[in-house]
Amino acid sequence: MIRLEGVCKSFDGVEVLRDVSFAVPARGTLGLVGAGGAGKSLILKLLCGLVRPDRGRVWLGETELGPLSERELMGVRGRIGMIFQNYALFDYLTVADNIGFPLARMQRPAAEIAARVQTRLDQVHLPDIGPRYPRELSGGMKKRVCLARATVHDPPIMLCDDPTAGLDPVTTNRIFRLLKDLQAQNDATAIIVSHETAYLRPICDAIALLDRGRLVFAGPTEAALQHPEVRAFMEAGVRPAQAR
Amino acid sequence: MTALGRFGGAVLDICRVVGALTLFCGAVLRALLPPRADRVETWRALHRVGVRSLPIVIVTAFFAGGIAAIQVSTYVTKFRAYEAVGWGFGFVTFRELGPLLVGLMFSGRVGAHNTAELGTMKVTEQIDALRILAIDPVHFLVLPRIVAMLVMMTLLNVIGNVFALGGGMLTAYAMVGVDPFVFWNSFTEYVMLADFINGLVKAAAFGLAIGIVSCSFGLEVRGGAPGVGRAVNSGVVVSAVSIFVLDYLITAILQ
Repeated sequence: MIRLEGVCKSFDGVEVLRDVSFAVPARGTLGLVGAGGAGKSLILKLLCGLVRPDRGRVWLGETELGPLSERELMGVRGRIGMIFQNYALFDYLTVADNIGFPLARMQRPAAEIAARVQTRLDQVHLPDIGPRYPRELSGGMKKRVCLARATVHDPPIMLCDDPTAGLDPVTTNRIFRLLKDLQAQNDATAIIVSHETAYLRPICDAIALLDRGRLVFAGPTEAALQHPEVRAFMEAGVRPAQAR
Repeated sequence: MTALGRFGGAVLDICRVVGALTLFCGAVLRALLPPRADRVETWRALHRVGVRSLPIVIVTAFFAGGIAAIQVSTYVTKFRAYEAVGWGFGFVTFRELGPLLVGLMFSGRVGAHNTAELGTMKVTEQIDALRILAIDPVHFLVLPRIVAMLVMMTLLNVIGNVFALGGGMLTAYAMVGVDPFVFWNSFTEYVMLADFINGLVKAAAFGLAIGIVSCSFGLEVRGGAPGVGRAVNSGVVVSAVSIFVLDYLITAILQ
């Protein structure tokens, strides 16, 4: 279970999140939507403990992140797989080393790492690119490698920051299908930040809409589609203020 | 803005840099208790920092030795004190010119590259990716680089001294006609172990300073690619200033 309670965050006096509260049940999938700058990526960083809230509480399962030290947060982060908007692949490592990196840090045997890396590469339909470097890959391939790295250690929580930004519809569809498959395989709880609302609808149990740091709606997908502001955003990418 | 306002702004900027570097040093010191630098990353950094800097250090040291010999030769010719060339050269090069020039070259090449690399990792979220993979960037990225710069700057200074000696000897022979044996005798007779150690202490201090400054500026990058450029620029300037301040202090203390 992932839970935010009354979370507020400001940067340089500018309030970026205002009293945001929502919960995602275990093994659930939440689609987090909203216009650029609404605070979606910040919520993911709060959930990883990369940023601390000014007010409010953040829970991952039974653990509240607020009181934890940086060293204690390291343990919590081991349960998270994150897909970054900008891939965040390590430039100096090969694709295979990138994907195997979390396992290598856990000091797993080399044979096990190699086997699991190859399994993930097969699952993301890139079986032969292990020896290549990230700079040699297209955007869609990098996203799939990022997805493989984020899930190679079977994390129970998956956070996806715009996993299909800038990709063509075919690759977008493939990545959403992969996300859903890997989430089901790991029994993971997932939050997916995306503007691809048409793809989100069938794979998300719940939708949350943010507008300039304020939570407009959070609830089951069917209910979200009945909400005028969410529906306007989902169907036409209209800002909630314009939909009113 | 008034002159006073500009002066105040500059003072605040300096305080900000000194404050950030102090906090960063605190984080590095905390990471040393107990020391947990990543072994693979440390070897990688030692190779990148040391082996790849070798050609430029050799060239710099060779010419630095030559310059020292030319400067000393002016007075040698005037006073016909040929047997003082080796001593003058060794004193100037080992104590001052060698570590200073190698340090500045090192800062420009290794320090700038380090700031750019860490800055790029910061703006492309690779640092965040490390933290999410439960890896402390100070242990994984910073400590190996600082260790590599400290060790390699000291070793490169020793290698640089050898090539500076060769450059000085050749130049003294070619420009003033000082016999290499006379040069060598004067060098071994008057240049003390203390002169050599003085240079090593400076090299180690410069390596440490370049490591801390370049890592700190790299991890503090904000604002995408332009931010990386600004950080590299500031990092090189602050490293150079640190080198001169440390040189002054070490010279005063070890005098």
